[in-house]
Amino acid sequence: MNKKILGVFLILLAAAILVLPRVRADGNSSETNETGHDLNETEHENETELNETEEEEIRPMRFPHGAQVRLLELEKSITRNILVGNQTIAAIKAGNSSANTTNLVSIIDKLIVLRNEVRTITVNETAMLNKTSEELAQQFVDIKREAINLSKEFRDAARPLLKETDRQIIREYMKEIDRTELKNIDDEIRDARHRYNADLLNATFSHLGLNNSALLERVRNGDAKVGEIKNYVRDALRNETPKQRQQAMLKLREAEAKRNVYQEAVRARVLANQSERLNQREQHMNQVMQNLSQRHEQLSERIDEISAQIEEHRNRRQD
Amino acid sequence: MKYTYLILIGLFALALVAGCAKVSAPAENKTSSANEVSGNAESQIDSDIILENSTGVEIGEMI
Repeated sequence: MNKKILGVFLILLAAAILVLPRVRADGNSSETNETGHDLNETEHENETELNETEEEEIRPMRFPHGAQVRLLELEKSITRNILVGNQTIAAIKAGNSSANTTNLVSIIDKLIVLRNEVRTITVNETAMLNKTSEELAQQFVDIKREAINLSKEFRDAARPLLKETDRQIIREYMKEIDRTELKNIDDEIRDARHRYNADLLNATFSHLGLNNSALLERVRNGDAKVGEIKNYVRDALRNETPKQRQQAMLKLREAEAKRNVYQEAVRARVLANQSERLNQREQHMNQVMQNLSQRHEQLSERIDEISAQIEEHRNRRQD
Repeated sequence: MKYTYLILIGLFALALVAGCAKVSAPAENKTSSANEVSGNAESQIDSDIILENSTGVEIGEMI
């Protein structure tokens, strides 16, 4: 009897040693499991959440210059695809003049509408300042996703109509436009990036209680390397008192918490009313396309009228 | 036999204390070393700075 009690006691003891720390330490994960959903499963079910790349891209957008960098980069990518798309259509037509490219042209028109939407924000500083950083980030994500879908739609439709030689010519063209047509926007991106990096470091230095306007000026001009900045921070912190360092640590943690709150707010904005936003965007796009089509028809009619007048004039002169 | 029970109860109590101690929050360090602060600052700089060779925003190719 005593041996049985001893056995049960030993098993209980072993269970207590093994299970207790796990129960306490995994408090959060057990909550997740209580919902009956696996994390990975949830991610797959909801594809419209921010992905890793988007999370990284929106991070600098909490600073106005960071938002400018991302929007300019998006504008550049869309512009590049418009140029490449037009070149692709021309190559398809050159190979087969009767090839139907109506769908491809319509996709390019939609990309132009998107590009103009981005440009409206980037060229107008007031438009940027009137929006919150969360709003700008959500708009960026919406436009980017639409541009990705349109580019894929174009790629899928164009690939069967292209020959290998056409592809090579277009790839050469892509390298060429990076050096020419896209040069100006590249310069704008670089300047905005330097301004953003300077703003970011200015904020970080302020949290650390540091002041180095010469270094910040060099960052603003794009002359400073990251390694050099980190070395400066490391050396400067060694000279601070323990109290100053403690203060700096608190401010850094506070900044990190604020950044996390911002990221969470953008995540929530992107997820909220997503289908309504998509419908609105689609309606807006259809309206713009309809207006473009009407304008195109009016221009065609006017060209026909002018051609007829020229023809009539010629005939009269011949008579 | 009495001692065996006493030893077992003692071990049980010890296991409970050890288990709780293992998972309780680590004590806050009142002062941060220069390395800790600069490590934190550097990691924030690394994750937020946009490098010169950044690939930009990619939306996929057209062909």
